Amino acid sequence: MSRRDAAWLAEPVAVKRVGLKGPRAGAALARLELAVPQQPNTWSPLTDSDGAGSANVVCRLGASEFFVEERGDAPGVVALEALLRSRPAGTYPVLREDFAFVLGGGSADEALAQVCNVNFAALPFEARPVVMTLMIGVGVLVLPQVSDDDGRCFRIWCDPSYGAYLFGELEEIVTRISAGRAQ
Amino acid sequence: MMYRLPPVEGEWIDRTRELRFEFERRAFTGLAGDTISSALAASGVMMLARSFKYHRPRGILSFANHDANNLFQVDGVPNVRGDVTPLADGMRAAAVNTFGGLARDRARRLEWLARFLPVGFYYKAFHGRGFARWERRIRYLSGLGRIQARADSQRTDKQYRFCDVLVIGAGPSGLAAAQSAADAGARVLLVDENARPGGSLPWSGATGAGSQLLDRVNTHPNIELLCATYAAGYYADHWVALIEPARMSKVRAGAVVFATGLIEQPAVFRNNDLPGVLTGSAALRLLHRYAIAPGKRVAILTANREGYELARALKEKGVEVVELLDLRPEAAGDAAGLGTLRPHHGVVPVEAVAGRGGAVRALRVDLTLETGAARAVTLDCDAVLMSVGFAPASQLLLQAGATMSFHVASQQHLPDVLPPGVFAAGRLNGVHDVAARIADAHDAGDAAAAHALGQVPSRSARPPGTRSISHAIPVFPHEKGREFVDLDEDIQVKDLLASVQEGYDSPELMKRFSTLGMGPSQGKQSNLNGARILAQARGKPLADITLTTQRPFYHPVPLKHLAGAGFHPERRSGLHAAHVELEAEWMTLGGWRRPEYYRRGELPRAECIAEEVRAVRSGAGLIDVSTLGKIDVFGPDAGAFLDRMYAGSFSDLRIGMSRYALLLDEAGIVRDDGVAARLAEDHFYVTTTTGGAANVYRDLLLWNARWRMNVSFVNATGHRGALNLAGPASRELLQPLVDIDLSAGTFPYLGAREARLGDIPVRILRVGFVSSLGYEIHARYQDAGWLWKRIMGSEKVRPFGVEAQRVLRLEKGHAIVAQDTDNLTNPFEAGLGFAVRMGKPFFIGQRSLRIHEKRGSRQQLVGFELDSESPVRESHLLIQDGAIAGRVTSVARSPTLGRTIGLAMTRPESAAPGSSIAIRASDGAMVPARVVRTPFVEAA
Amino acid sequence: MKLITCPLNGPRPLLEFVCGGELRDMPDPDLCSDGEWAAYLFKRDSTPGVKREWWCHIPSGYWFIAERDTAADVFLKTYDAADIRGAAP
Repeated sequence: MSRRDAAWLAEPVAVKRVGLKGPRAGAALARLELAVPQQPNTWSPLTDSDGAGSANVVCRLGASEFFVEERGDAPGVVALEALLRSRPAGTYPVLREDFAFVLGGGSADEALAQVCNVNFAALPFEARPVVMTLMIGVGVLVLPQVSDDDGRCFRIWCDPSYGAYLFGELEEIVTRISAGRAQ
Repeated sequence: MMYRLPPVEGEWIDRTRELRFEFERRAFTGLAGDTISSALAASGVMMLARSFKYHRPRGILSFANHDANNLFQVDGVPNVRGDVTPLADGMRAAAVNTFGGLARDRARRLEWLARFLPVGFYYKAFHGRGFARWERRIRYLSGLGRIQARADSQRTDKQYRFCDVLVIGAGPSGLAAAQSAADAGARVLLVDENARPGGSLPWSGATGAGSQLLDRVNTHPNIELLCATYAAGYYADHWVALIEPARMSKVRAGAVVFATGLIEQPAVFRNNDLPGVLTGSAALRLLHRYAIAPGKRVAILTANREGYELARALKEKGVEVVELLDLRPEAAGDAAGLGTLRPHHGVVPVEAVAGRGGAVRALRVDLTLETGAARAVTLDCDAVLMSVGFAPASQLLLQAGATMSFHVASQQHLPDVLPPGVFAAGRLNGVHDVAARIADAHDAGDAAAAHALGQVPSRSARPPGTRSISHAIPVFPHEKGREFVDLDEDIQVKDLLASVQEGYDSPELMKRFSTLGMGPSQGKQSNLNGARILAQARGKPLADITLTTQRPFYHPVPLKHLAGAGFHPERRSGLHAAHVELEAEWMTLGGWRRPEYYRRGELPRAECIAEEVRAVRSGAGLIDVSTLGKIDVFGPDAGAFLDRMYAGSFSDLRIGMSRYALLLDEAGIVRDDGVAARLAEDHFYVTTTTGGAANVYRDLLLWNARWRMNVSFVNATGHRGALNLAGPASRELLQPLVDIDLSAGTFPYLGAREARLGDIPVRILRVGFVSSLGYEIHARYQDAGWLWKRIMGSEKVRPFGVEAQRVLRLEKGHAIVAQDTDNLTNPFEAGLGFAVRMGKPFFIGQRSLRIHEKRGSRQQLVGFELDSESPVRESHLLIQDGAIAGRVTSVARSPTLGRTIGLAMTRPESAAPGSSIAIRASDGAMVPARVVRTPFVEAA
Repeated sequence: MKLITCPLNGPRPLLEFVCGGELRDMPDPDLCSDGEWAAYLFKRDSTPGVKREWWCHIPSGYWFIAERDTAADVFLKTYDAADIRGAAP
């Protein structure tokens, strides 16, 4: 599978993740000069130096839970983990061992349409929504992005125990779609 | 006999590509673009099938995907619809439900027995032992295609679709509605069940903008067109199932426009089912799409303007129309352009007459009304086209919640009240003239777009038309019968009258007694005539008859489309690869793949499990318990919350200790259990059963939504792995690996610590589920694999699976919720009273437990032993004094004790250790057992 | 399939939700009779009409209130549980 296929899947590498929730969780992010998305179910580039296509993101899940993903040395995540270990009031750690992957390609929408009943094609990417929904029976978090590396794509996270199943099914679908287009 | 004409403008066939195929083992040719039936028609094959009950010869009736007598067995696939299925080179087709082939079908002799086979005969005959034998015979004689049990399984995918406006039907009305909706800015999905769009546009007489509709729609950027796709069912909130050739898709629309049009209805007269008797619109489809003439000498039976237009259309293409027979009394039709053809009026059809091949060769009619004197004539013809009336294709509209009522002026059921977002257009609305119905459809498309986009429509609706194109009751009974109302089920007029006479005189009852409308076309060409006959028989107006309920699917749907890809979510622990390496025998439990046991060479299953049990009892075993629910409870109110939620006390739990956590429902019934460990003042770590994890987590959230305490929950079930190292050697094996002191004084039973195993942060709980000494080690999902390897590095540790765990915990006398308890078990009955603190101010189930305490227990969970080997199983009943006294909830042979032990619910009076109980085995034999104290195995 | 408009996640199909039952007031367990307690546990009012119910959006674990007309089978409104105290008019 290559990124030139009509639809492709990739697993990100060298990524650190952390979650946090609670009434003071937003304040914890702000204290470390990390972005705090204002609306529930939206995302932001993690810091001022990250652009809209950056791989470093912070998601606001619902009212008072946040999820941060950062590449490489991940100084933001490291600092956040240290802060959480000190047990600040009103801020609680959420262990994030998600299975994560990226779905991209011109036919990514078609692949999604086979497994998920959310109209992703109609989502305004620029409003930076994150979507929590079910994909063939598995709870997922989906972040639509026009990424610097991958172009228009969907970043997807799910419970790690479902990873093999979800990825396996999507791989089959994506392979079928790409084969169909290749003719 | 039908035949192919010279090229017709807009025809769907490609005359440069000839295809070869077989029908009933005879070779034929057709053209690319033909369907199976059109190729046969072009070859002059008039008889395509034998009917369901009487095995009468049948041919094309409507050519619109409704004909049950166009079903073929094609290359092993049953019930292929010949009128719409494209012909392919090399196809081998045959009729269905014949015995000895179509021409010589032996079952045709059944028709001679017709008088002994009236409607519903099987309800009255064959009482007693004969029925089973006759039932098999009757079913054998009256089926459709044959299923190939060994056919390859096929996998199709499913897809979700979204649109602002869904337009069903791409005839003139559908095209116009789609165009308007798209012009208004809506994203439109337009579907049509035919291979190409347009419907009746070629013969509708549309001019000007009307004739441009197809081009406009094909080039409009806002319209997606799906052909060969039908809407099978309408579900809540504009959710429609579309059956495409390759798959089923489920579309969510903002609004739906039904432009499904009308279904032409047959006239009912003796032998109206002969090959060569077809509807007028069937002839038009054959003519315009496949350049096929219905016959060389065509007679038209009509009661509307459409019949005259049909005559003109045929003559224009060089087809000879020999008779135009109008049922209406006066000269009501426009006879211009008919040349020498003079229509007859007030015609009463008497019967169609069959020729030698079984197809029609003449029509006998009664012209008394026209001539004034009794005059019956036999008119030679080789095709009879019926253009006597239509019924709305309203099945899906009704599923969408529309109500319809019968309008006498237009002789049609018309929509009354449409739910929001549901619109009807064109002939469905009773608007028949082409310009008017295109205008009506533009309105509907506009209104639909406005609804979907939340705007105000720019055009206002117009009232439906009132021109009647349907005869009030085109039914002409004959004393010798064979006037078929339903050609799927071979139902004649007298069958329906017999139903009424028997008292089955409402449409729903008449349907079920006579089977009217229960065939493959589901009454599309018979329900209306049946209702007319019923109305007349009961002396009521048709408007008073409520037609039978319409349900999905509109056409039969292949099962593979419904099955789709077949997704079965499955969870795996982070140790999956390790189990594979150790040759785990897999099972699925609570949605997780788990090792049942680990294979050991040629050892049988029972021995493998017994060895695993012995390994734990004598040394140490390791099991993957990653499937346990794991919930972090944070916050200043965490302890207080758990006090209210669970039956026990947790706010007084010391940091570094854990406690058995019993969850009850409000009725005091045991729901779930686990362990709650206190890791900090405001941090508890709570485990649940595998099966209960998701529900318990959701319940914690729900109760706190009510109580609004200062507490936060994290469901870490999938994000953490967990192992249980159990057995007398577990401490000495674990100590060198961890950075904390595990000695009994420092880390007592029920202790809970955070520690490091190598570099990995872990949580260690001292538990006693399967053995007196044991440690549950929890780590992050990604670390669990390394953890397993590290611990298994000691050769003294044996992996054990779910089955061994079940035996081990049974030896310890531990109950499993939902196995040893059920929906009526309160904690006092299951020996779990120790986990309940009745003195707390409040907890879920407390009030009910006060009542249970007062009433006393009605059952008691006890341990029992058997003296000998025996086939006692779970759920076997305990019998006392000839009555049920309880049941076995768990039972297994204990390798440690060399005896069969178990848990059972029994009456309180036989719960004391030493009591005798009797268990009834599967063969009815009574097995004596002895109640004993638990645990069965103390140390280890 | 029915759509429910989740206050946080927007309109989603019914299969993304689970119903937690009707909002009901618990009688004071210390003051009510056994009969009143049993009625609270086991008796339900199935008269068709507008009901206030707990619904959970499964993927996000978010519980909210929905007012549903069980006769017309229509969801009238949905809102966060924090708004219960100011009950719907």
